[in-house]
Amino acid sequence: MSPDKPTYKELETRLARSEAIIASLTGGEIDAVLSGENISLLRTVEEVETMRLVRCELERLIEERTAELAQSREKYRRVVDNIHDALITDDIQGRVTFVNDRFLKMFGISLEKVDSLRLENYLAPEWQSVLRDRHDRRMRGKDIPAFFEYEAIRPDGKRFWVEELVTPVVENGIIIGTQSSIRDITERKRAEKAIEESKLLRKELEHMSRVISLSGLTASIAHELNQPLAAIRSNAQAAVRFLSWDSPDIEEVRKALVDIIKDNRRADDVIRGLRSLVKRENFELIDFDINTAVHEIISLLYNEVLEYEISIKMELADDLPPVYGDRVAVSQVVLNLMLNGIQAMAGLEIDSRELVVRTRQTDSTTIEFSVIDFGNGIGEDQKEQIFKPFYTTKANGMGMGLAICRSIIEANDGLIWFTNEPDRGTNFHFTLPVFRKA
Amino acid sequence: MNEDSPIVFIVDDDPSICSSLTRLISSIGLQAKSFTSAQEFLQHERPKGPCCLVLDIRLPGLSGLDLQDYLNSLPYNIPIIFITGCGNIPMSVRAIKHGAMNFLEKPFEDQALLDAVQNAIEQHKQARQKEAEIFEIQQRIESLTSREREVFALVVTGMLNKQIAAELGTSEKTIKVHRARIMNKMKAESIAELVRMAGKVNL
Repeated sequence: MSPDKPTYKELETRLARSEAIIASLTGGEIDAVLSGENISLLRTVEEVETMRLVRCELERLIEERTAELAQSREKYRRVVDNIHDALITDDIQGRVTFVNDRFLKMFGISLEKVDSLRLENYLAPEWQSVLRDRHDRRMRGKDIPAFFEYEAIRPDGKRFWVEELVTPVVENGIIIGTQSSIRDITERKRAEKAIEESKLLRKELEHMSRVISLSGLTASIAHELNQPLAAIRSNAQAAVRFLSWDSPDIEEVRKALVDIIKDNRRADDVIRGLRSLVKRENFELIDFDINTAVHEIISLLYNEVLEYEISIKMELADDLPPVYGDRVAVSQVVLNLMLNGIQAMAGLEIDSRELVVRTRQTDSTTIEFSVIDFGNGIGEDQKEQIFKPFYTTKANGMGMGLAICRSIIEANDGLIWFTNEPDRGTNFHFTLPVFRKA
Repeated sequence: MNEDSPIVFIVDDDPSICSSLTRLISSIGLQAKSFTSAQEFLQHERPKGPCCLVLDIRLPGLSGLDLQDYLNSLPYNIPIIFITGCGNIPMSVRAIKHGAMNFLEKPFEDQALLDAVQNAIEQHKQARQKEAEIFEIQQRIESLTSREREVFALVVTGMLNKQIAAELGTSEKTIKVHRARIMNKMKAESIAELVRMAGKVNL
């Protein structure tokens, strides 16, 4: 090439012109071409030849670059297609502008259909309006959380959960569409569901321990209703008597009536509170070994023992005679008392979290079960309330646990009570009658 | 009402029950006082006159049955009427075995409770009279000399003066003197009365 290297632009212009001239020359239009200006361009054939070479060089370069570009495009395409996530871009109206292979596979869509692809084609119906709304708001420049989970649907009707990460595509400061990467989270959802279900199962177990046998519940209801009913009756009867005095005591009658109204309301509250309770029927009395029942409950408590990092010390008397009662209901009382004990020690040093479970025969007709924790004990102010229905100190408690425990134990001809340990902690005890052969 | 008027104590953890029973009992002109725990009742001063206790079985802290046992361990015989909202058989058996006067299930007829209360008060009145009598007899026995007490013990078994003299190694005449003094000190009109007195103090 010549030493005073012309720029690409100059070369191009000159080339175009010389080509035009050459074309004219070969076309025989000599007069038109051989003007003064053009002649100066055609200084030498050599120069024309140089220009040809330059042009060849340029063409070669362009070809090379095009190949490189295609190669890099292919590389990029392979990355995009082989990526685990599905990728999709769309424009401001939501028209699909690009999808990768993974997208086609994940959503079961053929490449030909991509141009006419709409949200409706790959979203479960209940999610369509939500996602359209998100898209529209994003297009209006609203700040929308990038991650979103929804259920997608394939043409064959198969549904699956995906997680989408959407980012707006901005060109010259204007939003022109979005690009999203979509991940199949079916497995994750399944795992989450399994965890949810096991949580639910545990909840049900705890619920069972609170809301137990029909008869236990009935006794509890009976007691709670009997109290206000008894008070209403005594007040009414007292009022009748006050009226029958020679000079009736109207003030006392008025007070009695006020109390009657108050207790009536209380009875209403009891009934309302009970409506929410679920019942389990069948109260079955059998003879059974209390120690076996205790062992069973302890194995049920495996998770709590791990979770609360407590140790259980068993002091179960050997050779106990069988007791007589509703085995399931009694087991639930054991479970409930142990759970209470475990929870009462949650705040202690790990070393002192010990739950003692004890069985013993107190006389020829009585077996006593005790569970002893080393928690903070039961405060004086709670002592009065603790066995009452709907009384609870737990955030999510129903306050039926101990009330039902008591009604179950009493329905089984036993007694239930508690004592506070002098060096803190609480002892819950109940007794059951020894089984006697008929 | 003076301080010797009969009084009915009510112990029930339910304030509604306390106030309604207090009202019911006062409607027949009896004095009533209620407590919501056994401990509260125990702190209260003991009455001079006859009384009875209407006691709920199920109480926070010391239960009704525990309170009954505790009261039984004291020289304080107050008749107890148990009331319960959910009594079972073992409980009622235990209560009655330990000396309860009555066992009523809530809700009960007013007349049933009022009858029970009046019976209890009446019983307590008699018991107190008997106690006073026994106390009086014991006081009289205290006034006897040790020899007189020996003679007294033998007289009430129905022994003759002669037999007693032989038993104690003394003369019949001496026994006669002792016997006259005993009759005098014990304020007994007859041997039969003396025997009754001895029976009352389980001599």
